[in-house]
Amino acid sequence: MMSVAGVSISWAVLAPIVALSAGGLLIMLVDLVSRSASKTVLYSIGIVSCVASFLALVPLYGHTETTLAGAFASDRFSWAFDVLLLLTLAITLVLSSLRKAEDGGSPGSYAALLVFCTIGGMVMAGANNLIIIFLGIEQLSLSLYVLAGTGFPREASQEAALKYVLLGSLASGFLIFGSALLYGSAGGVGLAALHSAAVSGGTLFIAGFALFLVGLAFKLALAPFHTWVPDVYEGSPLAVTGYMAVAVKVAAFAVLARIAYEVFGQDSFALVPLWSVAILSMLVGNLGAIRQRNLKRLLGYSSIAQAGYMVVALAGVQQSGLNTLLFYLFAYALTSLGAFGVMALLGDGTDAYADLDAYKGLHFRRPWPAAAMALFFFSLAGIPATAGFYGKLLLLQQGFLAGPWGIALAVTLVAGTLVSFYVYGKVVWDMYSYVEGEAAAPSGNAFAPWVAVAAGAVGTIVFGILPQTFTALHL
Amino acid sequence: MLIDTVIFLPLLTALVLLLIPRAATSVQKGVALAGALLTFAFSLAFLSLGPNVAADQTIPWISGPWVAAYHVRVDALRLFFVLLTTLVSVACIWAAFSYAHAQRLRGYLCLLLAFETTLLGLFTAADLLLFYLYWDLMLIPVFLLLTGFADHPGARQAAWSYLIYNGAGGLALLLGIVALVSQSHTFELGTLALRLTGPAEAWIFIAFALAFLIKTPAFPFHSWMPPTYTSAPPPVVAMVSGVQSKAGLFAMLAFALPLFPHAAHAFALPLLVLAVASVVYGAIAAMGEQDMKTLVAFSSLSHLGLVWLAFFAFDITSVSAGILMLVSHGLIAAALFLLLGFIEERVGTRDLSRFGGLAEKAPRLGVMMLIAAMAALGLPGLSGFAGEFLILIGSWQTQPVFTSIALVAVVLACVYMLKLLQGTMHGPVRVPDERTVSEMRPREAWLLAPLLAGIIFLGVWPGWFNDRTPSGTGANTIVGAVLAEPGQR
Amino acid sequence: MQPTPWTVIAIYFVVALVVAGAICVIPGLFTRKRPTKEKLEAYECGVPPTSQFTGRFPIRFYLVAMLFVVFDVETASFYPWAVRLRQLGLFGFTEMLTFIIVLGVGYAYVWKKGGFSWR
Repeated sequence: MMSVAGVSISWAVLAPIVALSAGGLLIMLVDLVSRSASKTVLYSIGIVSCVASFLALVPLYGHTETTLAGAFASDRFSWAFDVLLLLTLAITLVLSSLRKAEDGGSPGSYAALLVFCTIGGMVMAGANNLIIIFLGIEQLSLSLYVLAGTGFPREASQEAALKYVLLGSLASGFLIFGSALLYGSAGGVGLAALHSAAVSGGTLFIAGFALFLVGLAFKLALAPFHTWVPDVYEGSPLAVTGYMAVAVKVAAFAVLARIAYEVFGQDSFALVPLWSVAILSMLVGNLGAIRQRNLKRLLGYSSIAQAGYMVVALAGVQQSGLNTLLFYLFAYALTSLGAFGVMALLGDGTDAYADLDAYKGLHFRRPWPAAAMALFFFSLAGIPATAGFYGKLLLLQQGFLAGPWGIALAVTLVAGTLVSFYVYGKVVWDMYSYVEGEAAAPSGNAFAPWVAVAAGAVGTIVFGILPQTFTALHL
Repeated sequence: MLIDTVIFLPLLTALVLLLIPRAATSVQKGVALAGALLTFAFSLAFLSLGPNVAADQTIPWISGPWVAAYHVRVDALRLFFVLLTTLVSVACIWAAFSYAHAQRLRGYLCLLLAFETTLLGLFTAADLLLFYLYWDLMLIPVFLLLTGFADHPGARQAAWSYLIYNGAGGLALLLGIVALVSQSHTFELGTLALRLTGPAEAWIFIAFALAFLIKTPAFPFHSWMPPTYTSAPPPVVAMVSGVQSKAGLFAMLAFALPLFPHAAHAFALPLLVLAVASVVYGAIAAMGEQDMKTLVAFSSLSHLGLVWLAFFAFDITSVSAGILMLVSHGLIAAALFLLLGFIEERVGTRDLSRFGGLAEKAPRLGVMMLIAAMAALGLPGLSGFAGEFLILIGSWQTQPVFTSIALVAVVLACVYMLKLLQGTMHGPVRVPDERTVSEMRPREAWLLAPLLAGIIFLGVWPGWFNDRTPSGTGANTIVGAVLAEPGQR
Repeated sequence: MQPTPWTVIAIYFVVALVVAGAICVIPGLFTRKRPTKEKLEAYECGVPPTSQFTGRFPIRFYLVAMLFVVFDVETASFYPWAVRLRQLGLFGFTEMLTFIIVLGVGYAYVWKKGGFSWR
């Protein structure tokens, strides 16, 4: 603990981010110094820095502290979000080991960008004032814009990057303008200052919060700000899409939850737009997924719907909502990464298995990946004995405890789930229906994706059947 | 421990099957049948339970934000559903041996065994969360059996209507359960003695009832049933109609009626209307049907409608007769659908106008068909009669109008069942495409024998059954609790 | 009601909207429209496009401009630091050193990867 010009700095709180940053810089340096450094070395440095960052997190467990004049917080929730972000980064790096030279981009910049992206997410998880929130979001987004284009020999990847950066900048504009208005209404950028502004209300606060929400909804891919999702998910390299689907949601929900609890602290009229976009997202995401024939696009639409579901955790801004949100995010992350892992496994890191036609009769060629994929889809659909089901059960309860809007959210959640039965059932159907003759599809045998698949499968089943184990982790 | 063994033995057998190479079909058949038989043998041990004694086991499961336990139970009500499941499963798994694709037999048997576990879990669950778990998990094996193993061209449509209809019902149930639990904070039935009142109770009861009406099914929620029953392979449809169709009515008795007594009485009238509509509609539709499997499907709708009538007449005789009817219908429907499978295998069609007179070529098949069809139309001395007769006697006491309408439909059962019997077995021999019709193989006869024996046994000695059902065991049971509640009729 | 500074801004907004809107709308009301095929084409200066745009395009100018902005803006933050160097002490010094190192790694990376070469 040291103090400079009246501002105290707690290095312990910042250590996880510093450790990860050092890892990112090290990757760049190694990539510079040694021309022959293999991607394995670079990705390993990334994973080691993940571990180092986690070790720096460990002493912060159960510790509540703010630093940098209250701008950055370390508490139970930032801790859990950080763990989830690091887990996502590690799994993504493992999955990325399947990248080949012809995929484009240097492995050094790719790995470094993934690490920097995660730093952005961790900054968002602890951000306690508008400036830090914006810094984190920009760090995350700018890195992701480039990552989306790292498959640039494919035109789709260029398209994804360009669309993402154009629409993303617009969203950032909304965010910063909203922040400016909020600052104007509250006279400060800290969330505590915003709390008093929220209590007194006022047009300026409402306008600022609405604009801020638009920006955040874009990052969360909530309808009607979701239009970038299908193309960007389809065009980005496989591992990046998986990372995008999880890390962005985790980080943006950290911000949204902190704002809901710190700024409002109770159900508020100003949050009605949030409930509305959640309801719209559940419908748009699930209905949009019906017609997709590309699995990456399908999962993109699915992530829109899942983001809508997760908002239900915040319904009524009840204390139990944060536990629900954490559980659902963990369930979603494990399931999603697992599904992308199966795709990477089958296609050997390529998009060969993004096309749903490739899944016809998969069970008869590759029974285990087919079973894993079916498990992940069941979890996304919320079939019992999976983590996704228990998460939905918790979400529904939040809805029912939260008054009329909560009940509307719960009912929409259930309606969306019914539509999603068809969406996921269609893929399961394809995988398990018998196709005459052996299709000579390329089948990957790499070991790395199994890590993601196994982590996803074990997590999905254990948290699904024994949800108490998640509670026992005391995240 | 015994309950767990019975529930999970089929699943364990399925996992063992996965270790056996695809090509070793005879080993797979042996293991699957042994697993099913062993499960049945274990389940017979529950018969030794006294009338007021329940096998009960509770393991803490979830403690926050709500309480749930792994609570399984076999009592007077659940006993017969468990026995029905294990018995029908043996027949169905044995019948599945004739499945044509040797490469896929293993998956077929695994899914049937997994389906048996979900059914047994459902009938033994005494915790609402556990119950819901099995309720929804049931969808998966049936959906996969319809996707991967039905060669019928209509299977695709059938699988979707099955999944979406039952999924919708399941989600309605989920909404109801969460609405209930968000007030009680527990899934345990024992402590769920929360007496809800007013609109909350009504809405939650509607959600439960909707799920149960779809699962049974009852008119007008039955449109998933004819395609599913028609296009599913015979062992699958025998399990769905024989056992799974009892889940809704079982759950009504075991969960919904004790939890929402006021709402159950308040909504008795609309439910009675639906019950009688099912009875009449099913009978009329069956009379006009030329497809033999669809015909039996509609007869099933009609018979189960009668059980809805029995339960919501709120008469002690009719409620306990409804339980007898459920078990009896399970045996009859399973036997009929398996028999129709044997017939279709021999003549290659289900169209009653294209074949006939099989009894002359296959007399044993004719006899077994005769027993099953007579039981279905309610011939005295067979189980169908005992159930129907007692239901009508009981419900006449409280609901004479509905009962007399249902009575007309019961008479119609003779028309369609005789049509089925005559169309398939009697008259001049007609077989399409010059096929040779063979007599029943010993396996086919043996697997049906226990079902038919059960039908005759329950028909001759319904008292044995009544002594062991909740009605015979005093007011401290579920039926007693339901009836003791002051009605709002 | 006493005009606050915000009222003035609101008035400014309204006036800007009205003027800009009027400029857009009024000509449309009074002109005669005689569309031809050429007029309806998307406006582009020079010759009509001959091929679909694919592949990478030279972004040298953008690249140099972006790099300039990045490093120039970073340099701007040195001024306030230099003014208050004594007050900030050792902490300020190490902090800025870290900043320069991070920036330096990025600079070296861009250099080594050929970001500055005019190809």
